[in-house]
Amino acid sequence: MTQPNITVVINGHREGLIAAPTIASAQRSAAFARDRGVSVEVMAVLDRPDELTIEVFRSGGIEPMFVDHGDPGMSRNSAVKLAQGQWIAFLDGDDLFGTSWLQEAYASSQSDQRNIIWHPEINLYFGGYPHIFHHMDMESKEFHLATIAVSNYWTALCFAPRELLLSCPYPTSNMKHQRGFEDWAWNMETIHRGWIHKVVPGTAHAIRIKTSTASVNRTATNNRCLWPRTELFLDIVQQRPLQQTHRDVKYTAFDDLPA
Amino acid sequence: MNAAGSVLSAITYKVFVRRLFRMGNLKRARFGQFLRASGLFSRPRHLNHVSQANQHLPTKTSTRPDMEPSSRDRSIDITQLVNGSDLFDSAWYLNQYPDVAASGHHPLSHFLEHGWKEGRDPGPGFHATWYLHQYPDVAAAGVNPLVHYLVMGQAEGRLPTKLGRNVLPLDAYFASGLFDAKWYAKSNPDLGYSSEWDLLEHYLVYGWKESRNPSPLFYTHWYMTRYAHVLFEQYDPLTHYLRFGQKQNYLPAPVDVGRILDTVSQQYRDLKDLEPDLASQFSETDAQHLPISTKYIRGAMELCWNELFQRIPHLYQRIIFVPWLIRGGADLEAIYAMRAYIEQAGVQSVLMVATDSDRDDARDWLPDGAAFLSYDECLAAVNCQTPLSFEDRVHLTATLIHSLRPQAILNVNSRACWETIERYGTVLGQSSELNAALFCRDFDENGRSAGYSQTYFRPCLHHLSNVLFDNARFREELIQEFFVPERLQSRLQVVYQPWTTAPTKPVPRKQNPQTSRILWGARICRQKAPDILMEVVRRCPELEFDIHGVGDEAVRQPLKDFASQQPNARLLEPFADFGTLPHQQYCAFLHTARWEGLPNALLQAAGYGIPIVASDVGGISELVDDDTGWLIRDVENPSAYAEALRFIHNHPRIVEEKVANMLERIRQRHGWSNYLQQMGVPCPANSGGEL
Repeated sequence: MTQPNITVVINGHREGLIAAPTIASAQRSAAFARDRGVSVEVMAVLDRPDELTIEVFRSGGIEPMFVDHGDPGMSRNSAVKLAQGQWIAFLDGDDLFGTSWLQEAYASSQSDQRNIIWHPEINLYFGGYPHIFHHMDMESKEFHLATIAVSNYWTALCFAPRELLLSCPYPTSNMKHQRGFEDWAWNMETIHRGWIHKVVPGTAHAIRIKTSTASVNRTATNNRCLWPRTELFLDIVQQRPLQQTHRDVKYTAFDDLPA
Repeated sequence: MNAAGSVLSAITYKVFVRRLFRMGNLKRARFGQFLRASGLFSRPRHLNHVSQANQHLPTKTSTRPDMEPSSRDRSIDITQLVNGSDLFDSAWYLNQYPDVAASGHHPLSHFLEHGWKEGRDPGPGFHATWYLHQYPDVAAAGVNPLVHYLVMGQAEGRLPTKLGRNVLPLDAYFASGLFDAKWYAKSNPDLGYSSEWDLLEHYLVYGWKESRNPSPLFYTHWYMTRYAHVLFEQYDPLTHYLRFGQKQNYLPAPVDVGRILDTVSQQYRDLKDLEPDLASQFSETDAQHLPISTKYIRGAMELCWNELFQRIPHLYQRIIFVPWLIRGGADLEAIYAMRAYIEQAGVQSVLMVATDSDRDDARDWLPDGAAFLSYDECLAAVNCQTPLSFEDRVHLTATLIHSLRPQAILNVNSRACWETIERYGTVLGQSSELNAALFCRDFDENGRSAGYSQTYFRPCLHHLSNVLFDNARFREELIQEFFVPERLQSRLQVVYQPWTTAPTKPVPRKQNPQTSRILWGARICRQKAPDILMEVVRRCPELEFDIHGVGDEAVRQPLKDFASQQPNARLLEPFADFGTLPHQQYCAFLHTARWEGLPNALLQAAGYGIPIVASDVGGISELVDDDTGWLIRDVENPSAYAEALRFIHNHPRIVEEKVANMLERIRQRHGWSNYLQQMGVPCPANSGGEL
């Protein structure tokens, strides 16, 4: 069996019938890519799922793998180990791929072979407060690296080489210790390792705005989490030239203190 | 029609000019000069330009031999004046007022004869009702506001609409496609406007200042941030773009919105049959009106963070968080801590960060070479007009600690830092030792207990390694009040503040100070009992009081009034530096207070050998007692203070004894080496500041 170009990894939990359009969109995007000569496998990793969700995936033609992490990052890591594809395309169990996503992302990866993680250009959010989220390309002149400390640039549904995901897996979330946002931390860590995050023009995902019980990131927010530890900012500061001094800081002798 | 029009123009003009003169703001000579300068009325009738569409309109030219000698041979035509201006728009007028269209009136004739009296606008560029409301002298004159504007108002600097003079003809905004009234109304349901003109006016007057976008294609806030060099007082961003920006290849938005919306449409069509929630929530047309969020646009917090992070030259072992850096007691304690850390690990080991305000007038207190950063200064440096919210400040503080992971932080009264410790103490405490200082409780205007000891002490204590108190009394009070268990009590440390830059021996004082001057110096607020102070001053006419203090004007004013009437009181500015005061000339330092920690001003006075009379509140008794000064236990009794001050004035020998005792106490407990020891910093051999 030859290695497929892409493995789609669908992360499931307890989505039930909600997962049906997700599976259908993944299958349709895979078929679209296959029609254009790109080989795709579709797999699902279900983390502590309920019976209905398992049945829905099976009905959709996917025999899922099961994990007991209670952590989407760890579930993705487990799936990546079993995946066969050269590239991994993540999809959450209630979101949808645009039909052309897999084919366009693969084409981009082949035309630019630097160390790149690919993202769709557009995210169409529905449910709750509908809006459009436009992804930033790291090579845009508007990109500021420091901003990623206060704001995550990209969703978790990236298109990345399996090798990278094996060498740089998602970190563990630990709500009790206020460590969440594993995708945010992974984005930072990959940048720290010299990878570039780029967008594939004209592509989109549809993202369901999660309910309070279903959203891992909302749970992280509610638990007042910060992103897991990264050395990114420490290294940036440490690499600054030592002679740099503060700007606009006025120095006065301490002896001028009130006596 | 022509004849009627001619009569109308002549009458309108005659009445108009008569009324203008009645207004009293039109001098004949000046009017003549204006007419000549304007060029509006000087052209011979046969050269007057009349547009093809309006050639049938009356073009009567009226000469005014009785008006102005120099303009006798000049012609003037109100109809031509109005019709020739950009501000009258026939098509707009008929469209805006269907009753006029239905009546068969010619729009210009209607406006000149009836419309202006009925409050109708001649076109989108002139708001007649607003003009008359804005300029009541014109309204009182009863003249056609548009004619007034064209003849006089424009030259006088009056505005045709509240939008000002720099706006484009309003049609231009719609024609550009960058103002989308429907989108604007839908995106801003709070406005409740329905007319597209009102919506446009809202954007041009208010909306852009509120960072609202006029359409999905123009990003107001981004444009203002990206082209921050533009003076947006003169032009709103959209007008600027249409007038100048697009010619200079400025971008109206950070992204190609048109292309994004094309992608959205395509994906919507692609996915709506798969996901019923998508199709039921909005249509493809609705999708075109969805707000676009993009990280290309940064808010105040992101801009501030980028600047802040850029200003950090290296990693720090410790970060001290302060709300601001002003000449206050808590600020001085933060400075002392900074100096101690510097003595321990060098000037590059510690950073001070001001989180809550841009006040930093005590920067000169910073040790030489010490690093100080302020959120507000960073924000100002990037020309961001949007202030930071409290949430932003908390987020910045958490991110700063989480990103740089200093060995330890010390919070000296920063509210943002207290909130950060409460929210994120668990995760931040895994990398950094979290410490905070507490000074005394506070009370609000209604006497209710307040301050960080009440709001943050309990939720934060389990995250904190050390809580530093500058007096033992307050520590004990909190232990008692909150039943702090023994295992946590060790985290509550008393660190007596140092008295630095003292002379090596006690300050020589005159045996009997030949003075009756009393020093009072503190913030003027309820806590410091200015009412008691005033009563003491009244009761001691033989003594002179120098009152140094700053406070809100409302609190300061009664003291100001009092001092101006009381011959033995002077209200002076707060002293920036105790050392600049003529301390040897003071007979005593009076400190009135209703609640307190252990104020630094008392330490300062004590170190300079000034006898102290102070209220027995908070931790004051740890410094001032019957051996070292005059502790007033009956805090609310002015006579007790007056009595003590008179005693000092009259018993120099006892004063000398107590001053000597005080100096010994300062030497033993408030020396610099003692402070370093309490702070856990090894004391260098040549550490200065000892008494």
